[in-house]
Amino acid sequence: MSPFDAISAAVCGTPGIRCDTWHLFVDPTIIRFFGEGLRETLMLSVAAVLLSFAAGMLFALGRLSTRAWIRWPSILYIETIRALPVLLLIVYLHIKGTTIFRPIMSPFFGEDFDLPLFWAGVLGLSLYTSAVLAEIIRAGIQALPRGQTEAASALGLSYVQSMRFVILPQALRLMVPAMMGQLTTVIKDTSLVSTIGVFELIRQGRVIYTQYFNPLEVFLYVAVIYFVICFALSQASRRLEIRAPLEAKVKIQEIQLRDQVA
Amino acid sequence: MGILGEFPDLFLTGLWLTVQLSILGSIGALVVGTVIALFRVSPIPPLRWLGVAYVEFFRNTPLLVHLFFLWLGLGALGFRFWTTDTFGTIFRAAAVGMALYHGAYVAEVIRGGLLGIDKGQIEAARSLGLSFVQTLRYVQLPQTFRATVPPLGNIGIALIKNTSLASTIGVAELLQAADIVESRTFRSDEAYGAVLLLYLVLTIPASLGVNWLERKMLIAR
Amino acid sequence: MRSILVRVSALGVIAAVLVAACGGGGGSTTASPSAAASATAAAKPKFELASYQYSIQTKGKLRVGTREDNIPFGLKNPATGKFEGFDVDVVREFAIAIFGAEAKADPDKFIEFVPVVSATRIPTLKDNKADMVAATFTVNDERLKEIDFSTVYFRTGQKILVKKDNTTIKSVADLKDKTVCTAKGSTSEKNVAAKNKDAKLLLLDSYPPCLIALQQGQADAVSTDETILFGLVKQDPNTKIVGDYFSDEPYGIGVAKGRVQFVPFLNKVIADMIADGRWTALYKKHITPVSGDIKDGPHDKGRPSS
Repeated sequence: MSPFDAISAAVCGTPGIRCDTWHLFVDPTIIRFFGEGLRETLMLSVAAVLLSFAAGMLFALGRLSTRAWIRWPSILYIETIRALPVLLLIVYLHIKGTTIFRPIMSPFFGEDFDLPLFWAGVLGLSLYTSAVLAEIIRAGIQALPRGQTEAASALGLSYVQSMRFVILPQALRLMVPAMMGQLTTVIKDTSLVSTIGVFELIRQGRVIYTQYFNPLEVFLYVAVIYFVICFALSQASRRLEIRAPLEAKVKIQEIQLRDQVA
Repeated sequence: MGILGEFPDLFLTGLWLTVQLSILGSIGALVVGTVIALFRVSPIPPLRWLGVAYVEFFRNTPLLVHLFFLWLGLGALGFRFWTTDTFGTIFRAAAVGMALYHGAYVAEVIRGGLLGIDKGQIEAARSLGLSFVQTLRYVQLPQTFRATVPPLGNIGIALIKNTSLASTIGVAELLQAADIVESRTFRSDEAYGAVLLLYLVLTIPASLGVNWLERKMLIAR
Repeated sequence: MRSILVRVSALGVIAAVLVAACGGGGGSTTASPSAAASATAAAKPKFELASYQYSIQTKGKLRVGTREDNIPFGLKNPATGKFEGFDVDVVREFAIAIFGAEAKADPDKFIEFVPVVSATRIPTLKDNKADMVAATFTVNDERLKEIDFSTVYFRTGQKILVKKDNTTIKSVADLKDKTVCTAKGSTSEKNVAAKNKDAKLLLLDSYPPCLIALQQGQADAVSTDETILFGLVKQDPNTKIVGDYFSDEPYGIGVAKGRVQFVPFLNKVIADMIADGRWTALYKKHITPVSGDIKDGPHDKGRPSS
């Protein structure tokens, strides 16, 4: 018996290692099945990032406002959300989602409106990520030299105009790598919506391992898929790293480490 | 918050398990992170590659997958984390998962700290006759820890929040307590509200502490 | 005199015609499948004009809300595209009862299947998208406020799932100090805790990981509604269902309110099915392979099949 045969006999003989199911992972039907889960994962991520970006922008500007009645609620929102686990927000919004949204949505969708699971998941993710992005955007804005704001107002631009044409474009350019990092985090966080029943990547894996009894292999396979996607993204964001001021970089790292969820 | 009084066992167990997981996970992450950071700066190439692989793997995969893998994946092989009680197994799987996952982030922070030390100090130590290991032990690591404490504090806060994921493999920590109370009483606002406050109690003082440390470190520089 | 005679005889003729019509269309009594089966011609059962089943018969299609991914009650076979399951076959009996001998050969020709999930069962009826819903529909007071139900055609409840070679757990009392896995957010957890407070509950977010835990011996049992356990047994034949019911889930056919005479008609079909053994045959076909028992009717406790 060759060493290769001996090793494969030892490996396949181990209870729990299901060599007989390995062929599945290259089977086109199964690959497509996982692909559907991956598509759901990516759709969740994109929707969450877009929503979080919009909300995060609002809260970032609110946080920087000179008016206390805007600033303090923003601070309260950001610091409270950041201090909570994402999973808590996802589960809670799933339970309360229909109650909250039915009155708003019933004119359009009828009295029996039920918040679809997909959107309950997106909302939970967005709620959390918006607070993180708000801080990242704020760090970007604050990292710009004071001269920028002063020059803008000297040129006669209003607050809104200077934000729109001078400050935000520069701040956002600085923030691109940080935001791509956050996208990676969001993609990983979508795994959490599997607990409320959304059929994203992990849940598809669950269907497979319940049928073929190969949890070990399925978890590894799913991990590899996540790795490939997230690694590619993080490499891309490293390429895009523009020379940002040190304080901004440090602040970003601090935000990302503190809010780093699964 | 009367609901806390209605289910004292659930919430107390939940709080206690969350604290335990946070502490054990943090200590484990520090140990793992230090080892991996040393791998990454070591002069031996295979160790360096192992370090890089470790960090990239855990940073680009979800914690949820790791928890399930450690519990049901290794469980398929018969591994139960050296205990016969399933509840012990899931707790240990969660603690190990927290340590391994956050260890990757800790490793990067410590590595950054190690690399940030003035080369001159290392040369001075070497010229005084200290070996690689001794230089590490008496010159680099102490300074590294001081510089890295604030970011490590931030990872710790993330870790506290991430203990909530242990509920997915059955650990009766704080979020699980909320889930159980909600499914029994349907009072979701009260159940999750109470747990929300408890998480704030855990993380906000820690955040303030880290903020204070950050400022102190800046002054020390 | 003559005109009175004419009038009386005219009345008599009209009365005779009416009596003949009413006698012939005596509602559900003549609609029994056995009568239709024994009729030599393609006899359609006769219904009262006002009844809902008459309007269905005229339309030519019975619209039914059913599940498409539930073993063993309502499943759409991906290979053939046909619906299968206990609920589905009961529906086919209703079709035969409405459309007669023609339907006996191919009931699906007269049925339009409307896939439903738990949340859409009532809306589908209220929006008149289906004539009836046969989808593991538990009868309870809250629902009775919104829709009508037929009599109970299937009765289930919470039971216990263990590995096939397990001999120690036979009932809820045997769960003392045993690890029981169930899903969060369901009444299953509460029921087990109520019946045996010494059971150690492992709570996960769904049943697949519970099944794996059972297989690996990390859980001693899984407990939830029998119907969910059926699906688990189907996935892993190396398990079995044990114990008596410790909760009660009666299933009925859901019908929108205001359907004239329809519910009594359905009740009659169901009663006939139980009486002449068709119900038991369906139970044997769909349920026994996963439950391991045989029942003679929805209220029968059941006895081991082998």
